[in-house]
Amino acid sequence: MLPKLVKFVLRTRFSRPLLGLVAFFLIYDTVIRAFTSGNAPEFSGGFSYYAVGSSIFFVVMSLLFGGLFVMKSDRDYLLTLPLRRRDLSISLFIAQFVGSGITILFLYGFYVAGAGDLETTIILVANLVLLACVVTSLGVISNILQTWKRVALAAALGLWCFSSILNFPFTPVSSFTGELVYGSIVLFGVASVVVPVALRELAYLELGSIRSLLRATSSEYKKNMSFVGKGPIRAIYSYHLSFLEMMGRVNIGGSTSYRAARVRTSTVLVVSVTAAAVYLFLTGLSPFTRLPFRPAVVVVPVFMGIITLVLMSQGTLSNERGWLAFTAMDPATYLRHLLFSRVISALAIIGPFGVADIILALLGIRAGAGSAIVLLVTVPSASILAAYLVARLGAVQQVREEGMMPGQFDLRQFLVILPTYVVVGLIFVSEISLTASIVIAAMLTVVSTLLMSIAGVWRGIAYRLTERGFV
Amino acid sequence: MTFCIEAQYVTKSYGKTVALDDVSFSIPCGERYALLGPNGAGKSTTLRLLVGLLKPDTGTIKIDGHEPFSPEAKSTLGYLPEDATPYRTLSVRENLEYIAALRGVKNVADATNRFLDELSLREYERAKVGKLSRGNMQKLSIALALVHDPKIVLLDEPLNYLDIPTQERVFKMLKSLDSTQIVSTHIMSIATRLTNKVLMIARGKIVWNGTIDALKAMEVGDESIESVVARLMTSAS
Repeated sequence: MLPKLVKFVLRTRFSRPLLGLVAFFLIYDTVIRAFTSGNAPEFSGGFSYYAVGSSIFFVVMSLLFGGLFVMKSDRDYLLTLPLRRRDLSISLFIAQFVGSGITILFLYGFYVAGAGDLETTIILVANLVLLACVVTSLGVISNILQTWKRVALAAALGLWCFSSILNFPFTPVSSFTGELVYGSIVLFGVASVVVPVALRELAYLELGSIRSLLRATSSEYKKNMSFVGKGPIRAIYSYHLSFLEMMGRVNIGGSTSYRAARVRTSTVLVVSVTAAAVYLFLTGLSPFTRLPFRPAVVVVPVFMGIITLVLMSQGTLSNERGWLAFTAMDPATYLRHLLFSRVISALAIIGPFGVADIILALLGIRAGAGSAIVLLVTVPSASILAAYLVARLGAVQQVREEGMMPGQFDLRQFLVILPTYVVVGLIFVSEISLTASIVIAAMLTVVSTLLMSIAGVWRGIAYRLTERGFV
Repeated sequence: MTFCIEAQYVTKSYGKTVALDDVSFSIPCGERYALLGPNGAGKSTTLRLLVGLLKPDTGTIKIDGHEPFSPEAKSTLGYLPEDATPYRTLSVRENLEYIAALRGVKNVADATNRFLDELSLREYERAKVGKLSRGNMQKLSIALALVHDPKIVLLDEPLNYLDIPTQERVFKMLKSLDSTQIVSTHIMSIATRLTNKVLMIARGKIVWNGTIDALKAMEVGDESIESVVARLMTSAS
């Protein structure tokens, strides 16, 4: 029964071409070992920073934005069937793994495959698989935790993992800094706690996560926005500048969830200003901690860029209602003002870091200038292009029910992530050379401005979205 | 006779699937039409084309003499799709005020309060839409479609999810509107109570166009109006 159930669960959640691509990547990662033998991962530099940094990103994002690969039809049919809970739990865990945790294997597998000797390779591969299982499990567990517990756990785990950069050997990711034995033991320990919890949760979804999703908690807003006395355009800006909306398939670091939440922009601004102040202190102002944190000037814009691009591309349109907005006014006018207002609200997250980077540049830290340009110009312009691309390719899914997948994932939704990596590449280039950062920022600004100026493009987007059932 | 809705030789395909095939019809101002048809006949596509959410591959559509995507047509039209969902992150009041503001309604507060009272949504005005019951969400959707007092109203299964008292209230409300209406429905009792004419569509083509009375006249023996409609739809396919 289990193999049939696994097949059913996978096929209902992922299209055949998407599963094919996943299989291809895994085979590619394995085969490439043959061509890269002898290029051992460098445990003291690039590989360690990359692997530890990315692992922190995955762990934190899974906890903050974790979601379930469960559809409404599961709630209505699959979960009511007389299936063995163990089979159900394993099948859903495999689906979660394919949908989220597996991203880790794509990103690090390439490096690990190049380990110098077989023993190191085996240990690192085992660590990666375990880490992928941990990230998968955290994505499930996040659904049963209250927000403050999720944030606290994410912060604690993030800091714990980060300590491996400071040569602390007992962390879940210290294998990537060369502590193969201690790192493996700690990671195994963490996995043996979180994986069973996630499996248990998946076995009784209807009593846990789904029940809490349906529970009518905090069903009222304490303070309502008012649109009285506002014209159409002012109403759009008033809405999107007051609140930062998290909506749609939040797909960050492989974690996937469907949420509809709004956070007051002023609250976001307070948090980001505080975080930027800490960042400025650690990277530029503190005489004691300056050196170990200096790479953050390069790393932070990249992560902030990815988060903004994902939020803008996936989240901008997922909550849109064509039958309301596109019939109330010209879709081109609506979409362009919507995008522009979202870019401004995204600056509430990244803007303070951009300002901190300007101060760093004035303090003589050269990378600060490039980072500031990236955060204040490149990322906002690129996020307009990202939102356009996702909508143009029909890869955006309208969220009609929170917590549930609106439909099957297909190759198209996966492939639209690729241009994001092009932008990330451009961000890296911008960090190396100030001239390059100015050229890239100018180029992306020109392209996005041109795109925004053509009304027909946005009317076409509205038609395309409607054709794909986005009403 | 002035026509508020005119469709001439309209064709619309999704890839290789032809949803509407050379469809023409005209609806005089003030008339109320039921749009009937089997599942997948092209009813929703017809409404989406009329409201300007889709563009026809060929043919022309005029709403009160204007292109469907023109500002003039948009200010005239009110549209409710099937299984409509408003903005989930806004409250009931915020949804009504936001859409009224987008539509340029002069007195947003008055329009909002009127619909909150008429559809008994007052107690939920601060409620998050994502937490509403399906019935209350439908009531809000109806209010959102009508908040700007549209001259032409297009409704797709408007009474879905509503309890009987609310259905009666909505019947009364729609009847009292001085507007041209197209109501897409599968339920004949709704069609007969809300409209007096029928546009029947099957496999992307208009297969029958006439009055409800003419449909009733086609009943044979103790045949019901539903049986007549079913007969017409099946004979067309």
